[in-house]
Amino acid sequence: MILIDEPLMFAFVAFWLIWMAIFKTPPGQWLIRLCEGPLMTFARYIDFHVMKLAAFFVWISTNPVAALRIKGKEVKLKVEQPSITPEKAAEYERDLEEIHKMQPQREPMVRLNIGTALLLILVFIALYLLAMFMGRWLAP
Amino acid sequence: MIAEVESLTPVIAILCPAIASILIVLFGKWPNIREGWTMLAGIIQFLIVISMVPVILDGNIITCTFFTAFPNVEFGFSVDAFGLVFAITSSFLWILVSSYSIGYMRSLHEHAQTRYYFCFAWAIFGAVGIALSGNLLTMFVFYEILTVSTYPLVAHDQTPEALFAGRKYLAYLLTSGVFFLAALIITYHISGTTDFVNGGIPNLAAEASRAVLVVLFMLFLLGFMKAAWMPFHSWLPTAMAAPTPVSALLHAVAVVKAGVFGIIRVVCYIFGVDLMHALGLGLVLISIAIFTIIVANLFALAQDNLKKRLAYSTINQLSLVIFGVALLTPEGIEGAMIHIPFHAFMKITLFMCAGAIMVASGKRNISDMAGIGRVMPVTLITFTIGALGMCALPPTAGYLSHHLLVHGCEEAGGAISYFPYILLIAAILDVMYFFPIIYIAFFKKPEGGSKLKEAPLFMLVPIVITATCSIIFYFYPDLFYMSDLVETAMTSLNIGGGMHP
Repeated sequence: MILIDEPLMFAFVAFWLIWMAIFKTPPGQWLIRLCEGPLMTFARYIDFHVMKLAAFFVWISTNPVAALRIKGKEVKLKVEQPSITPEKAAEYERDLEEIHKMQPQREPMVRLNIGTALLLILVFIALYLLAMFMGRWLAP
Repeated sequence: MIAEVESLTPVIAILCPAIASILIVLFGKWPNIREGWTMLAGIIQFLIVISMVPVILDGNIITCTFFTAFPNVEFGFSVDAFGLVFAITSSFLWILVSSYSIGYMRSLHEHAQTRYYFCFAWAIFGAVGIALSGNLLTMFVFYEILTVSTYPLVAHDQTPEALFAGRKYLAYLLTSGVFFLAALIITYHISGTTDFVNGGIPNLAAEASRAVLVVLFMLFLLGFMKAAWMPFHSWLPTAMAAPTPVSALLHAVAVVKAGVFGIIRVVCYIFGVDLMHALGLGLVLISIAIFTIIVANLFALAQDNLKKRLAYSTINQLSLVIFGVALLTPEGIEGAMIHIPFHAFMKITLFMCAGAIMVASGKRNISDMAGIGRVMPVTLITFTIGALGMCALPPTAGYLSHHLLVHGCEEAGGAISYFPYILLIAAILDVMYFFPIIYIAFFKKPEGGSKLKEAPLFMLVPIVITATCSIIFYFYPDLFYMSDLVETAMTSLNIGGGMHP
């Protein structure tokens, strides 16, 4: 049985072979350039952020208390920065650096420890509970 | 009525590589004996696995239980037709890749060969364990064994690049394992069982709300990152830093196929087609698969490194399997199941050819391979066969599974009946990045005088066998009982036709 797309597929193969015989270079160079340029940049961007996410889990799980303090300090600095004096801001920055030393940022995904695994399980159990409550709440 | 046959055969099959791994270490100083054990274990395992076929084709399942981990959750094996398809594929290809590895590792004078064969055996132990698992818990244990045992293989070269690839590989797949564990716990909490049941766990729909089931399915999907669906795919191209036999078996057969195998298990044996249909999850899965198919093909176009191009092609083909099962139609699921062994044979041919080219000429980039087909005709002819399969062109196995997937779309009806055009676009993109390799290899003039010759016979024989199998499957899909087993699996699933995702 001939399928809907088969004649088109064979036509494309024939077209490709004829094109190569005439021009000696594969058709669709613009598509290849698009893939090599913007598309690969996009791929690297996505990969970078997925890696960053994993690195973030590793960073938090190393010392969750210190991680929360650092994040709290960072948020406080961002909120207060427009209204405080440069001296105070510098003081905050120094504090932040001190706390950062408690929890050094490693190369992304150097290791995935048991803490990370437990944290992930907790996150997803929380997600599950949230979904369960939402389900009950939305139920008629 | 499905009868359960109690037998130790699955355990013996799974233990073959584990026992071989001990012998490999003991005879590490005698390479011939060490590699002899690898080959022997592969052959014995394959024979044991194939010996289970007649029982399964009679409509039975073979079970073997070790202990009860939790109420209603037993650690044990349950061999059904679908599991056997994956087990036969992995165990047969292990024999061939063992032979290929001997040629490859010796030609390149690779270091730490005992460690390599040891980890390889444990990887097959994990893969066959996944195939024969009777429930999610057993599958999870072997899934993690597979992840951990393949890390030393990915990082084998111990160069900074290889170590980074290994770390990334481990980070992605262990994180994925955590999601799998979470999904396993939730499934048990909801239904009180983790067993694979034909047509899905019966009380799953009744015990949980729609939102919980959707979250559960998403957790399962994240748990099967081994299927390399986008955007969680980048571990696969990075893992190409591994030696080529590792890329061939683990990243074209064992690891990635474990991912799609798991997805099919969840769709057909945990959720069931009816529940997937009711939740509208088929469409979610189709969307992910189509996105991955198209984007992976576009990425492949941009690669000059042959192994990386093959890696992106693998990502595309794995999503074809996901696409097939997401159609939730008999022919779609049949296409997905049969594409697992078909793709394994075709892709392993391509990877082994890439390795043979590297061993014979040291070339890794496609642009450097001008005229290589004239000096390595056997390698490049087999490469052409594999490439035709990827492009779903006859006379190769890829054409058959493509055929089934297109029928699956037509069977689904509605807007899905236009999806064959997406498969057409995917196949056209495959042509666009595979045909130039063939053209460069056979028709471009080589630069400078070349004294190249074919790779060693140990490498060439497995390539010829897998390429030949890819063609035989086209004329006789029942080779290794593949189509019979898939049909048995479909019969036991008892899926009606004409459903929409």
